[in-house]
Amino acid sequence: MRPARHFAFAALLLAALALVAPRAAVAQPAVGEHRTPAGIAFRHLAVADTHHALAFAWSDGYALTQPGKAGLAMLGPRLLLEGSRGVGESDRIEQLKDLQASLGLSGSAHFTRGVLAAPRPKFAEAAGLLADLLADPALPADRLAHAKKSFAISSRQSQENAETLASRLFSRLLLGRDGPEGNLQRLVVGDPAAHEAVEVADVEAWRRAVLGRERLTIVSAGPMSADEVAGEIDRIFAKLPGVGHDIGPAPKLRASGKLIVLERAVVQTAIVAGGPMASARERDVLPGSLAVRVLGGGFESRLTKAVREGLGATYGIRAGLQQLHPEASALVISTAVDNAKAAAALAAIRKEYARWREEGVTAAEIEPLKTRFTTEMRESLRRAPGAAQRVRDFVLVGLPVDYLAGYETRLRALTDGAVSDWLRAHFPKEPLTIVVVAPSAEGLGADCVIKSADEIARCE
Amino acid sequence: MARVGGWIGGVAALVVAASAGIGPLAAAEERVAERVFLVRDKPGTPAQFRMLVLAGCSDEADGQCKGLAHYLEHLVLVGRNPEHKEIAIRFFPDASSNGTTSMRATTYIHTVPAREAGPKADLEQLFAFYAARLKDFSIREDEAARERNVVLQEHDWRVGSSPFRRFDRRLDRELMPDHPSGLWTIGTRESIQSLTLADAKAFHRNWYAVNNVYFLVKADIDAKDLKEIAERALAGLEAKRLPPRPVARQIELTLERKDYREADAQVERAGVIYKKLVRIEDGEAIEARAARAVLSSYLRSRLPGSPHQALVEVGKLASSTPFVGLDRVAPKTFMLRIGADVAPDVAPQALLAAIGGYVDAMAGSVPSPEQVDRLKRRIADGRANEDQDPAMVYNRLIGWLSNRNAYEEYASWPQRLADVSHADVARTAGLLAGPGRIVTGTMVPAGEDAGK
Repeated sequence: MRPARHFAFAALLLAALALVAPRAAVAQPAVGEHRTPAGIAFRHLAVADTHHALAFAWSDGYALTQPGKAGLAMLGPRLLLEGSRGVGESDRIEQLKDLQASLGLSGSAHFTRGVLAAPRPKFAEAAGLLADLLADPALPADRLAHAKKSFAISSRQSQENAETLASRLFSRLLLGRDGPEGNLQRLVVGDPAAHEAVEVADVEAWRRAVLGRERLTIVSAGPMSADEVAGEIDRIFAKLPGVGHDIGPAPKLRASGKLIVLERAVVQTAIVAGGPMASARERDVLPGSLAVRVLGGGFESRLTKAVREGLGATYGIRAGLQQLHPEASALVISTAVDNAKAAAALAAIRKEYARWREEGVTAAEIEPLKTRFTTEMRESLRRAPGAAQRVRDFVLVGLPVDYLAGYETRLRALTDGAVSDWLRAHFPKEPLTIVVVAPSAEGLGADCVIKSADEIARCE
Repeated sequence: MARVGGWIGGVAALVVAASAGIGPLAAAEERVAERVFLVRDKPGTPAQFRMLVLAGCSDEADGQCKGLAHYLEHLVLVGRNPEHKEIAIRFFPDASSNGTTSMRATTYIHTVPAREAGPKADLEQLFAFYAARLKDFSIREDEAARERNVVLQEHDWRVGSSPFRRFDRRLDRELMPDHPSGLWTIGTRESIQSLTLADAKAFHRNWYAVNNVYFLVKADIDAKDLKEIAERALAGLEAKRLPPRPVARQIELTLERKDYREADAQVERAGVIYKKLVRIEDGEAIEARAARAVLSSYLRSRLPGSPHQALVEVGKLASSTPFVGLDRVAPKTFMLRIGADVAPDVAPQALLAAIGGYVDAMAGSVPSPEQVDRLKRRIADGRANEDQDPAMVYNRLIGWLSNRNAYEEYASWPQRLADVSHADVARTAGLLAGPGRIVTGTMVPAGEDAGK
């Protein structure tokens, strides 16, 4: 067949398939594995969008190996964003706006993540700005000094919020203050002490140890073909050194099961409850995601019905999984409640959690949630930056390349029984570890009462 | 009173180009009826539905925003009416639903998943539900009282627990003491506690009318089908004569400056805010709005001469890019707001003085002609990208209508922006630098001096 006729036949076939296909059926995009001419591996998926996106990440964990300098994980990317020797931060930001492009870079304990997005005709220009930033960063000492001071003030300001304070104390109980876990804890809670000692030489050493080609994950999504984008990936990343850093071992999480109350004059009582998840070595936590949404995700959740609708005690209550490492996560329930209803809210949270763990979830709860998960996944894949970041984050936790393609099938196959079994096997047993920040501990049944955050050590 | 059938169906539609192909969609809104808009989306995408009520906090009785419009939004979403068993917010177990209230509008939002049979059945249910809610809503007294406490908790969570938000609210009241624009949508702790179900019913009777709402749908549905659904549901609803809007009152603009300073034990990082009210006689015209949009874009940028450059990069007085707002608050009256966190080791008064100096000098330091062209090109390019995405087109239209802008001017907005000249921007900047009423606030950590 001649190419033109071949094409026409294919178009007719596609049109016929479109007529018989169910309207709501949308195929999950296929993720392909590719290599650039310079040999850099990347994943690629086609997304119909005006913009093309590259989501990338380096395995990190370097900062956790530097005693007293865990804050390097945040400060390193921050200082990099100050600009290159040729293009300062403001100039880069304004150039990106002209291109309708965006560039983000951020650090966390185990990964340094970034995303670049730009309209297809402008992608090469935007890629040039990122390449310049990575190749020749200015790393100005005065901006590092400013960032450290500013970070310390912001951290103290955040801690004035009762919910943030409760959350930080909860992390302290979960991770402790000694050893690698203590280092991680200081990073997670934004302890200024973890940032103060960081110098430009540390950032330079971090950059040289981490930002290489060896442990680099790249996902491309958008209208450009894999061949088209490969050249841009090489332009950005091919000149980086052949190094990489390991994320390090999973932290050992602790569960005291205590109720600790910090007494402070607050407008609302903050409650954070939870504990470590068991054996997070399974990469696919889809059953856990469904289960935790039944517990505390949105207006349909049991905790919302009990604490907001039942008691009128709060505007919102949430339950979720906090990922502390690809192999370690924790259940976290958090809310801010009416001071006068704090005891009733605590009792309701405990009662609902016990019932959820004991009875599991019902089909009536998870069937609508499966539809919502499907909708949310499809919507997140609709724009190139969202799609690239989703797939990148799947890769980072060790999910296979075909995970996305089978997502809806796996989701539909989950039964209420399977989800209930999973939750009993993985979610923390009672009693939960609970931190409350309230005007008074009276009537809350506290195991330990403190007057300031510094006293938390005596409650461990 | 006019019947709804009289004004459904009649306005020429804009073209919708929807395709299920691999390229992005070329999207546009279609006015399928006087009060109903459709943005056509591709198959397999969720349907979005919004009822936009053009009534918000600024429409509360006597211009006293107590949080009633917002409380009513809660009551509608958690009430139980004869035609459904679950509360409205759980109307569809597999959908997401919510509501928002602002000074000018109350919006009810539902996102329903893609169905094998398309979105018709869901949209029929939603139109029927909200047509009924335009007539009445029901909720038990005890549930309304419980929900009032939920709203109170929302207030405490959003405002009460933040010293900066509390202070900002106080400054707005000092700036506009006799006007609803000086009050916040959520109300105060005391005003929320005074709200009653009867008050909410009265507000509903005044403002929830078919001639005071828009229905906006983004879905894979034919315009004809959506029009039929809307006509069927809304038939029989009568238009109401709406009360005068308190926000339409002119602000008495006393030319003076007041400086406030508060210290709070919850504050670690000092912050300053500068608010200025100015009168612009021809500021309502769409040409003036377009010039303000370009100027706002400049004031929020990091371009040479912008507040960021002056206060952060050169002055080293602010720790991060200042917040800049430029809004219409009453007829011919506009508010410029500039807020910033004080840089470490800098005296707050130095930053506040620099902001005041920046505004005073605006007439002489406006963006250059090249910068104006650059900003206009950016805005046009951004809009061209938005035009490829039904979600962005949908959200853009919602933003336009919820600010009570006339739809008739919507299509001409890109051309208005393109027509903005350097002289237009310079004139607007000059007016902002001219006489006005100024209120400033300085928030400092406890232990530092406070007081006016």
